[in-house]
Amino acid sequence: MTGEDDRDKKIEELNKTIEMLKFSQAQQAQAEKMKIIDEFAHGLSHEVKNPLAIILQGVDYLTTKVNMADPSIGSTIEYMKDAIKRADKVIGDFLDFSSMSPLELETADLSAITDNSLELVRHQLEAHHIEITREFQPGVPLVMIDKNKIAQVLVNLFLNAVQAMPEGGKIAVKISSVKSQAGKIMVKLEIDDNGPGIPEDDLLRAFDFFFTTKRSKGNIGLGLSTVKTIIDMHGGEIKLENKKDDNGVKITIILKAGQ
Amino acid sequence: MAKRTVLIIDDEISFAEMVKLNLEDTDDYEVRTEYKGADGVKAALEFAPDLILLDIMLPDKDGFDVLKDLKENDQTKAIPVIMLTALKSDPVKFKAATLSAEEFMVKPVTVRMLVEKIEEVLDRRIVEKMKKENNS
Repeated sequence: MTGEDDRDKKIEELNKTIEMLKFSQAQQAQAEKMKIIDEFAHGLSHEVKNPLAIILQGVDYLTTKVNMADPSIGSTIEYMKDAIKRADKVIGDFLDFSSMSPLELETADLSAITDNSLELVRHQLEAHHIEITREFQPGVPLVMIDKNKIAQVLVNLFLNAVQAMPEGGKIAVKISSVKSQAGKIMVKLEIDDNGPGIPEDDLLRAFDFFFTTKRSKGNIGLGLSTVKTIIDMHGGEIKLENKKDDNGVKITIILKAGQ
Repeated sequence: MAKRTVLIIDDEISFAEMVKLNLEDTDDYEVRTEYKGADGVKAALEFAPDLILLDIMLPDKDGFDVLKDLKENDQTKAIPVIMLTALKSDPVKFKAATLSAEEFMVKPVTVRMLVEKIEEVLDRRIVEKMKKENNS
């Protein structure tokens, strides 16, 4: 080995160590952020659940004192109970999100996890007549991920696509390897649907906490923010855009190839 | 049939009073409320209720300390305790179970859910007592 080769090898090793250090720092920062959110969520939960409990007891009491056979009274009481349930669900979902456990990283095959996730939503895909096409490039490197959390991301994204196309449609899933600008090998996962797409204003806020366009259907808007948080925890990237040449949404996730 | 007696220890005064109102409205319960942990333990000794509904976050001592005091005292250790709290987490639930709470409920709860749980706990206690008597 020449001196130059030896130097290149050392530089490569140093770069790898710097990368690992950066990743570890990012994960620590993310864990600290989640800890703060968790503490906030528990405080918020206590402060909101107690008033909800008082209101629910009050509504139950009134139910025994008013004429429930009167349709306007009956429906008013039911609306109030539904609102209490909805507010309680928001808090419950926020608590679940905030108590997200740290990553359990292992080397894994993203194609296999994608197939498993598709299997988990197969019933919904079939029920809504969604056609799936898969294009998995052979020889794509393994990725260093928390398999359960990435499966959670994929299931969430597939179900969002199903909800966007309740009368049927197509989802195309593509996995390939790409090189970053710095020349590193990355794994790219693309999910395309042919639904109506997302209004441009909503696209900007799609990953925000509590942003949802489906509130009337009981959705509270933690799905995509959870997805983004999980991808961030992996040091990856996620992009959501309307397709330029066709109807529908394209989601692109980039993950680092595993060591 | 004699009314069943319940002690509520909760610093959310409106909640404690609403639960008292709802339970007493059924004519099946006599309810006493306390808003501090120490007062709750004292009331448990004086009132000797059939069941205690206990919150966790109390101003003077937390609900777990109250639970520990109740379960360590010969006069109150047999009184079933339902932890009724706004705190929803597995560690909290686990701690309540290890300190011998009979049940754990997360607010908000409907009156029906609460009454069903109280009846379930009290009925279970009666069956356990009968079994014990038959064995002795």
